[in-house]
Amino acid sequence: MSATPTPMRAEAILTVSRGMHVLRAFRSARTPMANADLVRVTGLPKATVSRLTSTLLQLGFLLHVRGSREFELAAGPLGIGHAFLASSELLQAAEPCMQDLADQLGVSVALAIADGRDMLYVAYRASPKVATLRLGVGSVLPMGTTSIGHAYLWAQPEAQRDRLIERLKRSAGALETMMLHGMHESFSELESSGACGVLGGFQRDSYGVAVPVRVGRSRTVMGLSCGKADLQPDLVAERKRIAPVLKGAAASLEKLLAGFEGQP
Amino acid sequence: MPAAGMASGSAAARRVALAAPARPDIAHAGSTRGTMVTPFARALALLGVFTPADRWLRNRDLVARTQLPASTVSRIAQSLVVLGYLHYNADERKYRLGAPVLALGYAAIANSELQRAARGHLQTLADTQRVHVNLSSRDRLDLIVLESCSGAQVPLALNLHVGARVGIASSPMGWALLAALPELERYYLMENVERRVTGEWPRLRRRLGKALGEVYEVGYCTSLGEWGRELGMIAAPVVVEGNAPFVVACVGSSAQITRARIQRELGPKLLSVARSIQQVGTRA
Repeated sequence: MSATPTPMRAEAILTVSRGMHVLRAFRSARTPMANADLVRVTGLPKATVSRLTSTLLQLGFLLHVRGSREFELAAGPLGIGHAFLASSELLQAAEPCMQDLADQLGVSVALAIADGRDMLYVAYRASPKVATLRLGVGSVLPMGTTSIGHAYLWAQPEAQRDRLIERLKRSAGALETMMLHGMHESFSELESSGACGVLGGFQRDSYGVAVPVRVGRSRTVMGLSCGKADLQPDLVAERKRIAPVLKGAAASLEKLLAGFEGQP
Repeated sequence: MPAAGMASGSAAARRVALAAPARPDIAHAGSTRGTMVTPFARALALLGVFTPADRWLRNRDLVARTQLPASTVSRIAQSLVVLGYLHYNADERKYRLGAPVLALGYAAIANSELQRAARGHLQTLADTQRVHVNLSSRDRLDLIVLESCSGAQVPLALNLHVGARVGIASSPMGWALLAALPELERYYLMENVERRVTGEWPRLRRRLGKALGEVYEVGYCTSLGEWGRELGMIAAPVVVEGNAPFVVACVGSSAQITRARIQRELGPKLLSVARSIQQVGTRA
């Protein structure tokens, strides 16, 4: 590595991370946001946010929603994401196994890594029977309220898990009690059965059943989940149906990916 | 411009340098309105030079592709490593993209209902006609590929991968898009292209005029052997109410894409794909 003066490097890191913060505030979703919303979500000064959105507009990462002051995500990030996915041998190796699982259970199957306070889907396969869940590779889901997030947290060493939970509590606000309750329920399910189920953690009437997986030579912890949207699903019955098959698939996936570098 | 070819393909496969790599256009940043946060713009540009064929790139590859000074490139690349967007292999001194790049907005476009539905139609056309088929939309003066499907045993290795860009005035994809725009918007874009290309403009304008006439008459425009000598492309606009227009295009070798075959089957099939996508978009 070259010996660049530290202050210059530190400043570059800060500027880049602020820019990414604004871009990520859209949470990979189609929901439009105005500068004022971005100020609220990122906590960055107004002038900074407007310089960053102006940059993102000029680079084709955001576009103006017609006839409004709001922005939405444009096609800029698509090529980068695609280049990553197309060159990840690990994810390509994982997908057939995930498709088999999806087809066998009639659900969607996601593999996610931790990304700040969120879980980021890095692979996603769905059975043809699943039509309503609008998620996919690149979707960002909250770690604190989803089965895939709970499975990830549970598999962390205790000190790390506590640190993460503290961080999630700070941003949960009024929902803290509910979040912690759901989390502890999931942890005891994981203790007793190795899998946890959460209802409506991200979308109403949808549920997820998840297990942790340890991937590659570095044994990187990720979450593997099965999900579906149903009107009034019977979560207990679904967890009983899904958990054993999911655990089996997780074990095969770990074995299949054991020789890969742990980062996708 | 670096040649951003696909690594895959048989020995017989030809590489056709149609598309520039997906690269935010930092060179022209000064000429557009608004302020620019340069280190951030450069960081995104750096991520944008990776193509599906590049698992690893060295510092000198990044320098060549961004045309930024080596010290700037390594400072920005190191920031991206610290933030997790790039991985660095210290032994071989090379970089690759990290999974967190997916959190920058990939899902919003890739998982949109229109695109999901379009995928099936595009793949069917690619499979049955043994050609490349893609869906694109406009980003400033480029068309950017949103979806790309290849039929089995297609003898061409094209670099029109997802995220690749082609100039709006220099490709049938761009001509088809311009044909779908309201007149004022089209003239505005054409004036901007004219400022960029100057000397080439009279030729481009004539070619564009011909293509627009073709779209108005039959619904698509064609280009046979104009870019790669042995390459044919036809493109049609897809207009979905409340959306900016899209373009579907079909690419193959000149041997495959003949005028007779276009009239007989490729043209009508492409238009039917365009209509199907339009219906999905209108429902959504």
